[in-house]
Amino acid sequence: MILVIGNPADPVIERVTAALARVGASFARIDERAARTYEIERSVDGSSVQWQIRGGDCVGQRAVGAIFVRHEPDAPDRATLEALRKLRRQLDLVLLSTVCTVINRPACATANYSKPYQLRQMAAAGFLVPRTLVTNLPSAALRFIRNLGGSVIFKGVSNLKTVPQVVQLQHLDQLSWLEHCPTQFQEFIAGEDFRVTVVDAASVVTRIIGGEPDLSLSAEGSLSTEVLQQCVRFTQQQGLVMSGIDLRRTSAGRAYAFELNPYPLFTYYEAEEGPRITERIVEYLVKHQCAPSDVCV
Amino acid sequence: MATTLVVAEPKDRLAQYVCGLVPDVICCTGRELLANCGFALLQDGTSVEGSLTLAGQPLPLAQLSGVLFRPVRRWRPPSGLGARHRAFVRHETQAAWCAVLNALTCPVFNRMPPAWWLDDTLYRAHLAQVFAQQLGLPFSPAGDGRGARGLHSGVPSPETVVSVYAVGKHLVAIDPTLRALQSHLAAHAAELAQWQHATGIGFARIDFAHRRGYAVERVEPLPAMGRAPEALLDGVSRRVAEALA
Repeated sequence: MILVIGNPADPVIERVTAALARVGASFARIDERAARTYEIERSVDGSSVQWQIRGGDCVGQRAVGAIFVRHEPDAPDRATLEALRKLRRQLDLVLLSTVCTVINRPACATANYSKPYQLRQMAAAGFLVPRTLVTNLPSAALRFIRNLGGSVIFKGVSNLKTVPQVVQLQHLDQLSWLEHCPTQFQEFIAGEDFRVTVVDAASVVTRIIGGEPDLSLSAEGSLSTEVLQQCVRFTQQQGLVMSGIDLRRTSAGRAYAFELNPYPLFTYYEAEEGPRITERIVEYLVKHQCAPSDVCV
Repeated sequence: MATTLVVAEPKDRLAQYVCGLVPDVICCTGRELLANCGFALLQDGTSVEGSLTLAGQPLPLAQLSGVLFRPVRRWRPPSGLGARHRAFVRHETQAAWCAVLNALTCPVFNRMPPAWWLDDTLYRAHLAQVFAQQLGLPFSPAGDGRGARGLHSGVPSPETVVSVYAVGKHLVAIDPTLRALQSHLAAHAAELAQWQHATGIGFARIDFAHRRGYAVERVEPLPAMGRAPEALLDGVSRRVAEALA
């Protein structure tokens, strides 16, 4: 039995459950939109812990071998959001300690909260990374921009969505705003963008053109085997099974890493009629089911 | 001249002791650090450089000999910003300081990881779980048999909780009955160092549930020491000061 946690209307959850149904795998869902419906019971017998989940599809009786999770981040009102957060805390405790295979354990998926923190980890793992300044000092930002001849982009420091922008003359007048909120400045790297989606030891490369994935042509061979192996190794080092890694390849063939997303919206990077990433995920879930299990649904 | 930065509340007894032991120290609260400290962190994958500006005084990062980071209250930007901007500025500022503290090349007690900055309720449980795995000890999370918050749990069972402080490679405890436990930890010094390196937590109180043997119950990376016995406080602060100065 495979357990899928999230919002069934999320395109990722939708596609994974459709693929599980297609291959005839038995699965149950936890619909986080109906967070109040669920109860999680934990029992301890000596040194062994058992979790029983009831509500919705779950009756607390069927052993789970693998879990796919992509938490729903939001709710329509405050009360529902509170219920969602409570359920999420309980589920994350299950996901922290369960012996089941989990894609991906939330406890291993926090590094992209701070982009420069994660970038340092990527550099330590062998990736080329752009020169990066994080500061709340206008003078330091100006010096960095001057030193790089103005070829600099700026963007948010955290995982909150911000749009990277190339520094323009008018932005220099706004550098005093830094005193209120630090910002990340980064050397502009010219080149072609790629998204590498890692699933276990495999990777799927998608070329990005003008911010949109180009699914018409195969991008396999665009990045060196060494870079793809680095992507797989780094994902595993983080304790993750899957990830989405953003890279830019220069005309000289050097690939720079920008960030790793532990919960990528991978449906955006695969064709609906040939969902290669979804298929790999489903194959992994089916193949890596553990027994005996400590979670029943 | 090498300087130690202590980020703690003025009433923090451990910070007071450490400040008395290190020669050149700058103190500020967590709130002052996040609200008033200018900083620049430049990294290119191989090197890290930058500076802090506290009370108008610039301090190159390379001049820091160590950092004791023990903030108590979570910082919030001024309310005048409005709820949405306030939340954004807080998130961004904390993400930036997370990067700065983790990038410093000097000893930092502690390099709090993203999960801590994110107020992840499971951060401490994860920390303890990894600690237990690494040191080959059983893991008995706080709540086993004693009612996990928000969850139904098993029957309570009698046990005591004992604590050991890990400061770098040193283990400090005042209870002489803990010698067996200290010996076990000392025999796994390499694993302890690996755990400290991987988690960024060089200083922690480790709580063990003691029934027939010892099981890791909790790891506290910001142990409150306000009521700690003088001898314990003295032992811990000396080790902390040695590591940071």
